[in-house]
Amino acid sequence: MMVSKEMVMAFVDGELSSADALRVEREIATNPALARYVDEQRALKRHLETAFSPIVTAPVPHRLEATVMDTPIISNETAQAPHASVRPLPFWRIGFPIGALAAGIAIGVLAMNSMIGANLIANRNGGFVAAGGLAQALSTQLASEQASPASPTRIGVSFVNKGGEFCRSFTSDTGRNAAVAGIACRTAQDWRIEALAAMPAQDSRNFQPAAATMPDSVRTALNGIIAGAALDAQAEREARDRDWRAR
Amino acid sequence: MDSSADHVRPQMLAILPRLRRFALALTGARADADDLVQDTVERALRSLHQFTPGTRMDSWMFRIAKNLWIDSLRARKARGPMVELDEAIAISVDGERTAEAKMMLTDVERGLAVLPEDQRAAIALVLIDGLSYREAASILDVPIGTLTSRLARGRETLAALVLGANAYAPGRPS
Repeated sequence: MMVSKEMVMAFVDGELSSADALRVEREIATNPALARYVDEQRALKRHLETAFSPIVTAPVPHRLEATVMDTPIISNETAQAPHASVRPLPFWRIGFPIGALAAGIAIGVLAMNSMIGANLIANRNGGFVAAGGLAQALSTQLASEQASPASPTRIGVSFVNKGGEFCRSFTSDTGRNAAVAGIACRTAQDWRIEALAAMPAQDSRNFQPAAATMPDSVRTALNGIIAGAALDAQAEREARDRDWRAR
Repeated sequence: MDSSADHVRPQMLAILPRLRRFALALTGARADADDLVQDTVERALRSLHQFTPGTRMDSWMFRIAKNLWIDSLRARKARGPMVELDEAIAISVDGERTAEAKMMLTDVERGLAVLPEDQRAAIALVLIDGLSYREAASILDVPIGTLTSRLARGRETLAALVLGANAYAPGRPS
């Protein structure tokens, strides 16, 4: 009888039925070349196991365990959260900047997904910037003026950050009675998103003043970057009229 | 709602040692392996809604690792000679440690590194991790026949490099 190479391999890997394994064993007993080949294949497997065993018993680096414990979970429940009215493109498909989180910028994953779904933020050069109606509201809308009821965005406070950029807090309705709060700062080209967090579901026609309903993470971010006090109505209007160019 | 998500993390922690070994077999360097593991964990947790409950989480994570590795190889190839450059810098900056690490590479690791990528992955899953042909084929998204032929070719090369063995010719008297 001749045993094929594939069969010997399956024998060494424990993939044969007991009847086939028995056939191979019988053949080994009478065929020294086959016996030697099987020995070699077993030796190779042992070599491989030995060479790669240290990493299995070595302590797992802390950063890997931390990644397991800290990475936000997108489960079925969260993926179908009510405010994701338009199923957002998963953020890794648009190049989610891991660095943004590492840099300590408070961006809530759910908030981000719903904003991307509503086309209110976009990914640019590894960070997020305001887009569409949000960008427009940040550029034109004054906190001190009553916003048009049609606008889904409310401006909270305007201020200058420690880098001298104008920043504004906002809340945006992303549809289905859900809202997102955040902070954006004006760069040469864009409104860079500094913080973003989901707000509890509420009646979108019944917004409270943005500062009063600001989620903790956004409030913390604001307190961390603000230089001095918030702009008053006149300073805000002047800043807008100069297109928010840094002073 | 998080009860299922809550025991996902301990499960993943338990998979980490084997995942690191798999990543090391693929990448051939510990630092690269741990980067791959980190990317894999992040991807897995962020796409947990794509995991089918009741199936093997280890196999799912191995599949993610394999796909990310293939992606990174493609990116690296597209980028051209960056690898050599990185290596050159690493050697000049930290020549002694790099040389030491290279010396500690076993014949087996060196042999594995010369295998084509698809054979390396097959060997890593079946010979190193001890998975069944069925599990390994499913992780690699190939039929079992494809898996076994990759295994056979990888084995021949490794046996020759590591053991200095000659190819086995069935039925030929010794």
